[in-house]
Amino acid sequence: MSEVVAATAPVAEAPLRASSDVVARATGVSKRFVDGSASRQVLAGASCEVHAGELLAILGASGSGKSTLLGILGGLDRHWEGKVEVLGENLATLSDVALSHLRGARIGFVFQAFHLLTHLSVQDNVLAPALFSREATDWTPRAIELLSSLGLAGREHDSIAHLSGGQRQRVAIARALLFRPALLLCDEPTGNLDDETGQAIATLFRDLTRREGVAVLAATHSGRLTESADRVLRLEEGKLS
Amino acid sequence: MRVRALGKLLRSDVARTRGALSSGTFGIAAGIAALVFFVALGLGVRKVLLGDVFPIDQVELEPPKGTDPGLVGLLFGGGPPPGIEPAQIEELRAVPGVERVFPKLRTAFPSSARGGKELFGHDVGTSELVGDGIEPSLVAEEASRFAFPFVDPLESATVSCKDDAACAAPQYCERPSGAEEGKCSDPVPVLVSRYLVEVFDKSIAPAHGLPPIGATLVERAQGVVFTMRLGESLLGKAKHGEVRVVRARLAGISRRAVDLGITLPLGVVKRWNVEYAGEGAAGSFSSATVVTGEGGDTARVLAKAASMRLEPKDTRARDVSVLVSGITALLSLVAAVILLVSAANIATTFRVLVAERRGEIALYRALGASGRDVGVWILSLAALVGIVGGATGLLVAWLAARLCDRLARTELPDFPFKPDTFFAFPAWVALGAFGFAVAFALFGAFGPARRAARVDPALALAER
Repeated sequence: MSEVVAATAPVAEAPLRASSDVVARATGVSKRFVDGSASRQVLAGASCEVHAGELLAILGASGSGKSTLLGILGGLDRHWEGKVEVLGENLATLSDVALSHLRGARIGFVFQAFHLLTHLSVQDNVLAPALFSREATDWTPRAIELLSSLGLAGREHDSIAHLSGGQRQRVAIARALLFRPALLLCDEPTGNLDDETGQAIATLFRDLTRREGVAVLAATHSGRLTESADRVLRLEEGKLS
Repeated sequence: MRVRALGKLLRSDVARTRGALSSGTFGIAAGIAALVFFVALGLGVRKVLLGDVFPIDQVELEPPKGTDPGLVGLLFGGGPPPGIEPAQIEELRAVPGVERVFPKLRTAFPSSARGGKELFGHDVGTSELVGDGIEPSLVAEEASRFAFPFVDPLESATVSCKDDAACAAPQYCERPSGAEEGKCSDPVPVLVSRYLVEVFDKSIAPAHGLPPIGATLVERAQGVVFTMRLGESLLGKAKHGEVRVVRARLAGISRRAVDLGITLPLGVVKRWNVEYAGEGAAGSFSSATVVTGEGGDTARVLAKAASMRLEPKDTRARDVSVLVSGITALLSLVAAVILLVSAANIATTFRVLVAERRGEIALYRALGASGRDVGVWILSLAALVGIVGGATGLLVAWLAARLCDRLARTELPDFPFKPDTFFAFPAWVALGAFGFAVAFALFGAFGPARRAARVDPALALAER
């Protein structure tokens, strides 16, 4: 699996290589879900930083707000309090178009449920972010290279339905890495995988941080990812510690 | 979003959602087919009615009918008919938008005609003949189609005569009443209207067992010489002049010719009116044709005419225009209702589609799509439905029109001005059809597209 690192080089964006560079910073982030008369405080002043080349694991129980925090850091959720900066941009001040561009070009998502498009082939799933890219680059060679390095060579034109869970997650990772993101947000990336595959994915993330300088923020409720992480933060009662 | 990427998304959508999109396309196609069919029918009928039957680019003005003593009045001692003075003609020419004004002078004496043996096998005649004199320049643009020049033949007559025997056939001796001698003149050129030919072919000829003039016989009919008896008809004799016979020749068919009757050079009618009805019957004109050209402002002409105490001789063009426009508008309204229903159908289809793809939309948002990208994607899909529906509807309307024309040709009996086609398909109809199709499809999909653009990606991904 470590071939991935070599396959993804060289990385176009150089400024984020120093490990001290802050890629994302959340300061006093609070989030409350309101459903009719009922409301629930999920995040209550959570703060954290993730640096370039760092694998940061956020450990927390189910429903503790890990996915919510990732959604906020990735600009998917725009309704919160506090301050969030990604690559120096204050997310609260960005327009939808600017935020979407930042998300598409510099942030990668890996989900527990993979979120692959079953009507598309393996290769087209990896190329899906290119549909909304402003650049007219042909990303097909990059997609093939990524799939090959993730052990899916020759499966480019297969249907998603014919892949195992581990293979699907690798397709999702290839998709997230297509544009060489500076920040990779992973929501329970090993949650649906067996131990062996989960461990391989964890190793892959660690290699990405070391060799590519990618900042990986992985939310998990198990200890598998924490063993590979540079730092581990616990999310409890809406706060990170 | 780049156009190529959008095209890829749309191709994928069409492949995945063919059934639902077909339903929306069918509705748009039905509405556009109905709209185009009715509009083309209205335009086609309007073209025939207002182009050939009741030309709308010209209006004929005359003094109020109540002041005209009519033919009987002329025969039994009534005063001369009211006329339009030459100065009034000049006033009409000065009206903005008026291209040309052509005065007309009606024959103010009784006459009849007989002839046509070459054409029908035996002579046919009329007991009463109505004639209008017009300036030859009025038909200058059609002159190349005439078999003989439409000018006063006396202008080129040089040989003196006392009777027809002194002239070489088909010339005759044009000797006014009381004159000692006249001039050998070519037969007086006569124009008839297409309206008259149509009525003869489709109504008179079948009723009297005569062959129709038809398209080929029109050629043969031109040049036929017949005789006109001046100063006397079934109704009686003229107050002045001697009854005499002159020769006339069918010179051609003109849209400027009087509908029922014959049309002669103005100089001829003036001369004959003086001879049979006195000087007063030639000093002014009986009517004036004002040509405004296509899109001309006939309303302004009519307003000016009213101020000069003149009125339109025939308001059928306006009436028919209003009637055809009204019927077309009514039928188009039906088509618009169909389009509205199809827009509602598209709205439902797209609402379901967006609901089904909520997770997919959220994923695309996570991958970099902005809300605007998503909106453009959904609206483009709707536009595609509109374009395909519009093209299909246009094709169906065109095929239906061809079928109707074919049925009309084979199943309907001949009638005056029966056209080769009842439909007109100008380019703007096709463009308009596409425009309407796309507009209604977008109208239907606007709400769902807006909803899609506002999908909360974090929430939708959590639900997926």
